[in-house]
Amino acid sequence: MYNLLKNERLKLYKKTSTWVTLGVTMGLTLLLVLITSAFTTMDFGFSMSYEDYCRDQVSSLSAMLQDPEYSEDEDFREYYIGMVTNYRVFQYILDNNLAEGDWRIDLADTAFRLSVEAELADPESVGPGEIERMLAEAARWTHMLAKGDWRAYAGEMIEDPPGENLEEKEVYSRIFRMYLEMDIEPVSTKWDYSYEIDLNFDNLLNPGAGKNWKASAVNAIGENELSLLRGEQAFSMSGTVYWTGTPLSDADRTALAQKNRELEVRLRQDIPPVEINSFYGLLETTSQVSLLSLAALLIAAVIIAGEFTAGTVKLLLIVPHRRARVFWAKTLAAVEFAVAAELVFLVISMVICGVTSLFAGAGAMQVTTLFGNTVTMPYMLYFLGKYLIMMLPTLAMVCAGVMFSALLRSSVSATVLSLVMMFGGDIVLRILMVLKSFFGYIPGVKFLIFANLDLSVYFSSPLTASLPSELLIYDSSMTLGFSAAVLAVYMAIFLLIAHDSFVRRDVK
Amino acid sequence: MSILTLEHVQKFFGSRPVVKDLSFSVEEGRIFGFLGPNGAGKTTTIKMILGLLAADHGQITVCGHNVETEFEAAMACVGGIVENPDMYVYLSGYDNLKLQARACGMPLSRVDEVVEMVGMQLRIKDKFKTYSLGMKQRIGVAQAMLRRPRLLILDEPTNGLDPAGIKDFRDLLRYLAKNEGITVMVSSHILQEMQEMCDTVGIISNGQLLRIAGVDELTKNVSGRFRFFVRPLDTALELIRQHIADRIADVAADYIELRVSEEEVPTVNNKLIEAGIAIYGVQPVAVSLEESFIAITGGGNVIV
Repeated sequence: MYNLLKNERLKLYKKTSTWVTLGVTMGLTLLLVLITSAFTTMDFGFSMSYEDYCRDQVSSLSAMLQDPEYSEDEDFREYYIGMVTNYRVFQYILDNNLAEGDWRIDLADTAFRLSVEAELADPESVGPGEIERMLAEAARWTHMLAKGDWRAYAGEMIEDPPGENLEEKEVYSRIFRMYLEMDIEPVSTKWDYSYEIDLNFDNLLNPGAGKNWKASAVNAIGENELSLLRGEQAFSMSGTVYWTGTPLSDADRTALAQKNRELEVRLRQDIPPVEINSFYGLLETTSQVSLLSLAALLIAAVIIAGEFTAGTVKLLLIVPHRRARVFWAKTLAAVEFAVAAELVFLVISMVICGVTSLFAGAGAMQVTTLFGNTVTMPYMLYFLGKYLIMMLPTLAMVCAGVMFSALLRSSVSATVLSLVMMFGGDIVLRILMVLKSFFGYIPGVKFLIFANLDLSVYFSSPLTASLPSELLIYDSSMTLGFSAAVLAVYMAIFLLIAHDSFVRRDVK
Repeated sequence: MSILTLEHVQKFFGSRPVVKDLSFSVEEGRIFGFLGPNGAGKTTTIKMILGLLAADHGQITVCGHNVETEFEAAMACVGGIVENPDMYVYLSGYDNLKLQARACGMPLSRVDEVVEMVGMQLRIKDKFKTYSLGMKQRIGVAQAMLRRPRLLILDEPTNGLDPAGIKDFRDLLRYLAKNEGITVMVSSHILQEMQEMCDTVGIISNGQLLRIAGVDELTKNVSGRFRFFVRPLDTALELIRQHIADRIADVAADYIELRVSEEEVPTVNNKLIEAGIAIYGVQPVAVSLEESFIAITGGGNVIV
């Protein structure tokens, strides 16, 4: 049996097409990495300073405000209030020379909105004394703004938190208590411009976002808690939380609670997230865009079919070994090749990412949840574990390739069908995702192999309040363990079919 | 002792019978020719013997081992080439043989032995795709010989070879049969080479065995014609026409061919001498395998 495996290795390794396939996919992957990292480190034409950006906003807003056409509109009031508020906020930023993300921007927004609302209110329609009450409130916040002390602001927010009910108010006070206790200056997520303030608090932060990570983490905890409280998925953009109306599933609740525990451990142990242009950030990008599973699939697709196409199958099968042994030798060679290719690629990408990032942040730590426990471990360990788990879909593809190979007995058909499965499956899943938002989800879909091939969704912490899981995972009851089990079952079925076909069918 | 036995073997491709109730056996130490027109079921039979196809009915035994139930033991004592000598074209001849040696559990030193046996030492490190057809056939034989088989099965081995190549190949087979003491089964639709190569011939047509016999037997029995080289031819012809006109088979410039039995030859001879005709020679007409084949199969697409 080992001799047969050695034979398969020799055939595989001495074949030019093996190395061409591998070389092309590795080359393409590295090219993708280059493009991706170029995009993330490139300034997207944001060569403008924050000050210039605000000045631009002021001039365009003032032009819009002078247009008389708008002010006649009945439904326009809300929008108009927003525009006037924004105009004043930008003016305030310029006058006080505030930096992007300064906590005062949020406060200014609150204060100015109240006073604009009071100024534009129709005395006939609001209750008696209402305008005075609004003006007094606005004055209180304007006074706070003038004081310029974030601790005083936080103290005020603890005493008089926003929120629609008692529970929500409690969440807000707790968040501001965290700012005070941990001595974290809040950041404003309003009018962030260069993506240096990362709202989603994903594992990979935009370059420069790391300096605000603590405030972002506290914000994220608050958002998640509100989401849990309302039992509704939230979505936040440019400082505003939008409620999607989608109820949280049990799995969503578990994930949000888990996410918050992780964030609290991070804050307590001072473990910043990884930035995208650091060593691990680049490594993550590289493994995300890896096309190696494609190479492994293509090689598996011809490992049996190629012998039929070349006529060498007759030679292969008249040796004194049962066909089953020949089959397992071939399958093992394909699996072994895929694993070896992935490992070699890991080493190559580590070297390349290391050199590119000068190993910046190579000693980083990661906070994650293992079997329900929140644990802290070196990022390297986390990454390697993740890399190994992510090989599972590749192996499933290899098994599918072997099956097509054994069933079709033609290199061309097996290759074409494998490609159709790899890319067609992805398209089918995307269509199902879209259909789901119209007609609700179809129960059986989560058992399809396509729905379980992308395990990265389980690692990319999709369940901050800002990114609903349904955008990434077909069915929120799916977990990493579920997908792994589904893939294992598929692999077993693929191999059984392939084995049966190879062992029983006549070689005509 | 029979080294290969087929008993009532049947094979259908779909509903079409390709091999119908085929039974025969091959004795050890022989070169057995498996003769038949294209589509007669030769390759199908060989594939069944080598386990590539499963027989629908009947059983096949190689060296006493049932091919279906004792596949490994059966394959350990039979080597062969099916259809073309297809090998891994991107590998050298040596690597191709190395693969086969490993699969058959033979030491690598055996590779050198078979390379020498087929005389391919000089080109063995070249890629298989650079070989001529003759060389490919030689590597094919070397591959089949690696496992020290007791039975060597070659499917149409001379297909596409030039006359010199065929002669070389024939010599190789003779050498192997003589020096390695192995039994050879060669299939072909070309009669002439069977006649020159084999001891025994089995004739198959339409999936059925028509006849199995020694080459001598096949060629000897059917003849019964003699050529009389005589002068003057006209006088002799006139004399013969008067007595046994119905026995004339052919008349050429210097001989008359008659359908007579061996016992009748002296009688005819005496009559001619009495008539003053000079006899330069009397020669029995050797019947070619073709004629025998055509007589047995009633024609068919054979290459003469």
